[in-house]
Amino acid sequence: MSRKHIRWLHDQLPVLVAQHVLSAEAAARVKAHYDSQKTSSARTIALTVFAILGGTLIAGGIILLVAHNWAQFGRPTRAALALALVLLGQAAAGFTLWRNKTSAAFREGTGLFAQLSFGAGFALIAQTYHLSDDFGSFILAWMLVTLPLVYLLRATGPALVYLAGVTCWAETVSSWINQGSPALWWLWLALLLPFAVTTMRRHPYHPRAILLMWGLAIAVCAGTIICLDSSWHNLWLVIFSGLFVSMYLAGSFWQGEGTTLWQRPLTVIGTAGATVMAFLMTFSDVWEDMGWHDRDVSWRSESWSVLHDLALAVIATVAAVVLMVTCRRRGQSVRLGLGILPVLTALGYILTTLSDGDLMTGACFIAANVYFLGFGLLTLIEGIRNQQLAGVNTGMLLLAALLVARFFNSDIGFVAKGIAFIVMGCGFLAANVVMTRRKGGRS
Amino acid sequence: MTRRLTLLLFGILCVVQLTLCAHLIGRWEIILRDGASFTFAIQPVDPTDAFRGRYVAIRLEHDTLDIEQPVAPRTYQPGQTAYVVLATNDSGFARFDRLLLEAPGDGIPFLKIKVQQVDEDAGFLPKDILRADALAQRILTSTDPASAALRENLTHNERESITNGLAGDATSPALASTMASLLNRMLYEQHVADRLVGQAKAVNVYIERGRVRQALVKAYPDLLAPAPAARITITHPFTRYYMPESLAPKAEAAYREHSRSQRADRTTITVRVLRGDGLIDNLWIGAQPITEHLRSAGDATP
Repeated sequence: MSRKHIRWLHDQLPVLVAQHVLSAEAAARVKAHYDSQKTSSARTIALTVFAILGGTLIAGGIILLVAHNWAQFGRPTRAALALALVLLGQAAAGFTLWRNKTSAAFREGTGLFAQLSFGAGFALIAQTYHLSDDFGSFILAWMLVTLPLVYLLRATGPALVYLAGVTCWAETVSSWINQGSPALWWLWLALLLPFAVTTMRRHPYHPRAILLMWGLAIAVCAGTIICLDSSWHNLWLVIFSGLFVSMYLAGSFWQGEGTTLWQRPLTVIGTAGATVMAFLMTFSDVWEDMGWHDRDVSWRSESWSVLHDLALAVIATVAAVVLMVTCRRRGQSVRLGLGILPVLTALGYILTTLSDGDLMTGACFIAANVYFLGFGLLTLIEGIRNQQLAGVNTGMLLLAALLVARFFNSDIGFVAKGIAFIVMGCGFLAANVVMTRRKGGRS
Repeated sequence: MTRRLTLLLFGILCVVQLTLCAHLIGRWEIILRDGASFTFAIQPVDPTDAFRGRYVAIRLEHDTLDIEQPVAPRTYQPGQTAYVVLATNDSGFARFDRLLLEAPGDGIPFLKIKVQQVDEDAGFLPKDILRADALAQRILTSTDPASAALRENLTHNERESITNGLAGDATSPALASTMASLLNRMLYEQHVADRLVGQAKAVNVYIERGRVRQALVKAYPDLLAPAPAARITITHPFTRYYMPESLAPKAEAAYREHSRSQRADRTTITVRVLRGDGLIDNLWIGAQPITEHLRSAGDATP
């Protein structure tokens, strides 16, 4: 049970006792039961965090001590020290596995220590022999060789380091000097997915599972940006609409019962990202600059990279549709307005690409603004209906953003803007009058 | 997963990690022991690599290969693996002799490299300036159309550099570098390009760079080397020399000081090459290894 709920329960217990729902003794037992849970949970987190910090600091300290005397060592000694560092990390992880330690603190601490030790040893060997292998090769080798530690120790810390490492690799490989294939990043990500799925299935609301989901969501966003070729102008809108909505729906599916924003990383990132995409599409520039006919042949545009973007757009859109249908069939509460965004974006992209004139561009621009207006209104209405201040504020914020953006849009004439604003204002006032009359009727 | 299976898999992982490290160590030790030795002239700089310690960044004096004969389009592509044969010039310094698409036979020292850039309208390198002093004199004083066009577009600093170069050691590499820089700038000067290429309407210098170069070589046939069919920049393994963190900037400072004194001995690296792999053996300032040079200068740590 979360701390917020435990606090609520503590507040309610005196009331329940006063109303003779619970006896004083029963109330004391309930309070004691949840107090011990709170303490135990806090203790576990502290142990794990201290173990992670301890393992990381010890590895760093050993490296620094060795570095201080590095100049005095000959090549064979340096090579031996590098191997010793790797062995030390292996010994720590081996001890945990041999003693079958189930403590998260042990597993996380030794897992990270073993992972960092190998990386340090590997780097020291490269330095000893003045190797000029590029950073990308180094970090990929380090991550792949230490990935099994994640599965063997069931540790989240090394998994997060792995995500950061392979994403760094993709960024390095995508630079013009290397002209490599950052799209292989998806393969490296897939190697971690079984661990992520298993962790989520076991305890979807455990802090380690939640942390892993945050890392995964951020890594997927960063990796997608890095892997995009951008030969298709603004195809990223379709890709990211599908990606963010898929995240939102997947979050509702797996962590829909989380009580705090922290416990629902996929939902948070998905909703925020999809909202930003929808807002970006309210600008006319986006629709004017779409499609294959405005393609730039970028320095690394090859047929595979062009197909990669197209495949990503199709997969992201289809995934969003499938998840949406699945969530609705299972009766899960998801926002249809958000769920249809990828389909609308894909449709708009296809129509704009196929058409020649400004008519379709204008139509998509207007449709995008109507969509965002409707989305903001629905958010506001839902917040009012459920008496949720956060929902009301979010709805107001969305509408305000749209109004400000259109107010300062110099492509729309003053008369058109003026009429549209007046009509919308009248609409709000009319809604106010209707709601007031209904409230008066009920009372 | 059972405990036994977990331990078995962990054991395999440990063996893999140690084997990888041992393989790397063994591979490079064999190259250092059995590899052919070459000496390259270099120009070091000093950035920082956050992950692998402080190093002196090595830039070879000549890290490109000229392809003299025209080749089929797309014969060489950036990112492509190729093989460069090493040779030694008359001064005893190593150079990249020729580029092959397949590994050469036994007994021929070569490096396995990647093509970084293929330039079919190559600019000028100092080695393309055959007589830097004569070229400088022609540009400053001659009335021929090419020299007049170049002279009119000289900046104040360029004029001063050339004049100082001529007043000092006219055979020094510095003057050749100055002339190469000047000519490269002129490859992109619209006014100069129009006059050199002889077109009435404006030439797009970004497209016509090769033609402008040809015109310059035609104007100074005895002073400039003809343009190669392609100039290929390669990615080679001799780019870093790791040093203790406190010594790397001192090494670069020592190199700069050494260069200013214009000693006959060059700053060089010795490398070992074996079966396509190569690594740096030592960094030399003059006839001394870098650590010994810094120690004798009182800068090395005891």
